[in-house]
Amino acid sequence: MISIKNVTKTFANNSQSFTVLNNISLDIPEGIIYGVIGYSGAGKSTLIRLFNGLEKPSSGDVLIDDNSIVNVSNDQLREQQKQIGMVFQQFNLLSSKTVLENVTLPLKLNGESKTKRNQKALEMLEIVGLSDQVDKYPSQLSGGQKQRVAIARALVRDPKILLCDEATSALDPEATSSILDLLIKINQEFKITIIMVTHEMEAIRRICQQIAVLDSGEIVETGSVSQIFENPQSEITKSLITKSQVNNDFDSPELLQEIKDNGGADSLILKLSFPNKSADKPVITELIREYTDIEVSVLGGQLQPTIEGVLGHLIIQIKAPQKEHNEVIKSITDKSVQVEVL
Amino acid sequence: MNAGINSYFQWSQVDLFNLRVSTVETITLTFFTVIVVAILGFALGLILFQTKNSQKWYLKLLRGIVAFLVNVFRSIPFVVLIVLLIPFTKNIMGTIIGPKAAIPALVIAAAPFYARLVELAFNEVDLGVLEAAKSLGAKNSQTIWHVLLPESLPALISGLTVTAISIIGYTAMAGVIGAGGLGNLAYQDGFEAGQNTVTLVATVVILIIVFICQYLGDWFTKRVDHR
Repeated sequence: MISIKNVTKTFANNSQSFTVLNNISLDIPEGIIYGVIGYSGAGKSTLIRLFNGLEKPSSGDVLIDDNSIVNVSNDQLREQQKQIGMVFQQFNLLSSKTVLENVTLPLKLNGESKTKRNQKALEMLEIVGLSDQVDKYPSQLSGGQKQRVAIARALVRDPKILLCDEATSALDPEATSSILDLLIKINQEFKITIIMVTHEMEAIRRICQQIAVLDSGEIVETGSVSQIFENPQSEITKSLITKSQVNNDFDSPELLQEIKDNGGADSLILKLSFPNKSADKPVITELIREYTDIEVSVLGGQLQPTIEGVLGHLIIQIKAPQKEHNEVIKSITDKSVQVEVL
Repeated sequence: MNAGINSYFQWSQVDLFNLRVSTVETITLTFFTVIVVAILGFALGLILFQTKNSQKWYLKLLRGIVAFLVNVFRSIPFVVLIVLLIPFTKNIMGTIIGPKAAIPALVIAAAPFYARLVELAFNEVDLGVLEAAKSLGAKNSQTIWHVLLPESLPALISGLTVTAISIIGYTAMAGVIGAGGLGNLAYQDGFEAGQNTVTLVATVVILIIVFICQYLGDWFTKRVDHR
């Protein structure tokens, strides 16, 4: 268990002080992929740096397996840091060293022998799929490959925790996708707890099991990925989710309004959200069989894979006599599908 | 062609033995100065870099003192510095004439210059890479040795090349005041004795040394630069 207890972080310059994190508490169970999402400036980067002591809280405590990493000597902190790997948005590889030398660096700091260093590093490079690039320099690699090297470097000392600070934010969609797959593989094969912060809801949805939403230095919402995506509570979460849906059904409220206006009194526009693992339910078919006098047309829909299963939603327009509207909605809700009237 | 121009091409004036001795003197003097300057400048530059954001009062004081000395000695014209240092030179070198006597002034003039270039080279190192080292639990000394030094090596070498070329210039100036070498040859045997050809030849040899130095510096920089 990794815990943050009542942490406040304040930065001060000459004239004023800024509270970047305000009384934050989080419990992260071992072995999961935990996502922290928020817009830039929310305090994500500061938050993730608490876990490996790169930032010290102004007050509060950070515990890893019940051991504080705050009230310890520098030597003790360095020992703890060896249990925690970190990858960065800008990769932060040494440009003067080859891929292999970059990956062996952490072992060199530990004073391991050269044979052992190279053996272990090659093993890690095999796992991240770069065995054929060991003698290249970072400048000769693509962004995705650089991040793989960084991941190999972070894992070479067999850490318990991997911290990802916007690890995919500098990558193109394809590289992002392959890095996310790699993170899932690492989490499952090596049972390493992964904590990632990002502003990309898409990345969180793809790989995280639990999520915290950070806004202006405060945690506004926590929960499992399906809870957060199906039933977001705060405005900030809703906006993050909406922005992440590339083919968002109604980007323009004007379009929605137009359809509403043209539909007349009989028209009912609904957003159906399918709970976990039921995105394939034949809800519409059942509905039409039940109410033979209604018309259903599909306006839009989306399926989103997550680590726990598929999340889906559908936007439909129903034409039915107004008095039947409530009954129809109830009938859909009874099929354990969430309904939102647009 | 008039006599003035012709006076530069009286090859019989050139004593090859003297030329060789002077060239060796200049090269030796430059070589040893560069080594001392590289070490001292690196140390001073490292102090300036490491104490940049220090909060502890004694580190702030150390930075203040180093920065002040660097600025002062970088600003004194070299000729004035030699004269100023004569008593000091006599004390530690036992003489004020010859190549040895030039070393203190050369080092004191060039080390602060290189220290600033070293500091600049370190400032150019990506902060993210230093943060990555910190996240790996690297000690300060490990970060310097395994990260800061290799990452800034291209800039350290090109900076040393620039410094070495300045030092060659300084040795010539020191030569005029009695430190030997090609500067001395150009002034004493050339100008004072009215042998313009000797001055010209000394100039050409200095240029060749500078070019070789620049070429070597560029070559090494390119070899270690993988950015």
